[in-house]
Amino acid sequence: MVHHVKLLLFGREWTLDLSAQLTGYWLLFLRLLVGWWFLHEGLNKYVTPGPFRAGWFLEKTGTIVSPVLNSFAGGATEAAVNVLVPLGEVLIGLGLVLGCLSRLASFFGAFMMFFFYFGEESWRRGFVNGDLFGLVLFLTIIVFGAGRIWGIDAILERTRFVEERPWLRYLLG
Amino acid sequence: MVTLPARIEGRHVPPSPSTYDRFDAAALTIGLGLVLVGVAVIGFLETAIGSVHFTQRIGGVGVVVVHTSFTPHGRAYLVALGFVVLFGWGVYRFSRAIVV
Repeated sequence: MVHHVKLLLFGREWTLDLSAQLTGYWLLFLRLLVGWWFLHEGLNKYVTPGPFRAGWFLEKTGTIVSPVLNSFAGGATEAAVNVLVPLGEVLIGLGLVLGCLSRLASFFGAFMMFFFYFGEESWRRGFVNGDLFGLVLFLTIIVFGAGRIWGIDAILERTRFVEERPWLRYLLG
Repeated sequence: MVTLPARIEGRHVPPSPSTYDRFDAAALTIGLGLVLVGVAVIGFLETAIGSVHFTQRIGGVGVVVVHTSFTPHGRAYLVALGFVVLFGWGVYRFSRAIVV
């Protein structure tokens, strides 16, 4: 089924012929792909011998996010980051694979990718790189929300609790 | 168009997520525009004037990255500012859905 979507952009009306079927397939594909990416990244940090250490990243100098990163270097904050990065990646990945709290999971994914992208010192690979696309993919899932297609969000959104609190849809799919 | 708070049968009805006013349009234009300027427009200018960044091997130092025009830090700040504007707009939309 094709939906004719009208929109106003920069003072001019445009139309989009959007196939609901194709959009559904594509968003589910995108959600599962990005979800597995982060789930794999997180699980990999647990199965790799030795504890995960984020110190090298937190101690980076010469990046625009260095002041923020450096403030977490050392002590209890670094220990917390060492725990939160793999755990966060697993939870974000699970959230997207299962379609549970998809937008919230994607927000935290975008948050992490923001620091990975801007934690680049020399931009040796240019400004358009894999980290930027990772960040943009998470934002795309936030924009479209894909959790209600074969996801737990579809069930959550039908509950009375969510129906009485429509703002929760900003966290679901 | 500004949506005012509404109540139907005593139940709070937030503004529709599909309601966009001039503020939303301005935030999206500025946020997305800054990212595009920082990544694509400046990237195009660098390529056009033949001053893209490149790596060079320097004896005793190793491989260094040479930038000859726009500083990568300046570009990075511009792109980051774009994402920060989008984040701020997202927080505004989320807060509005709860508060209004």
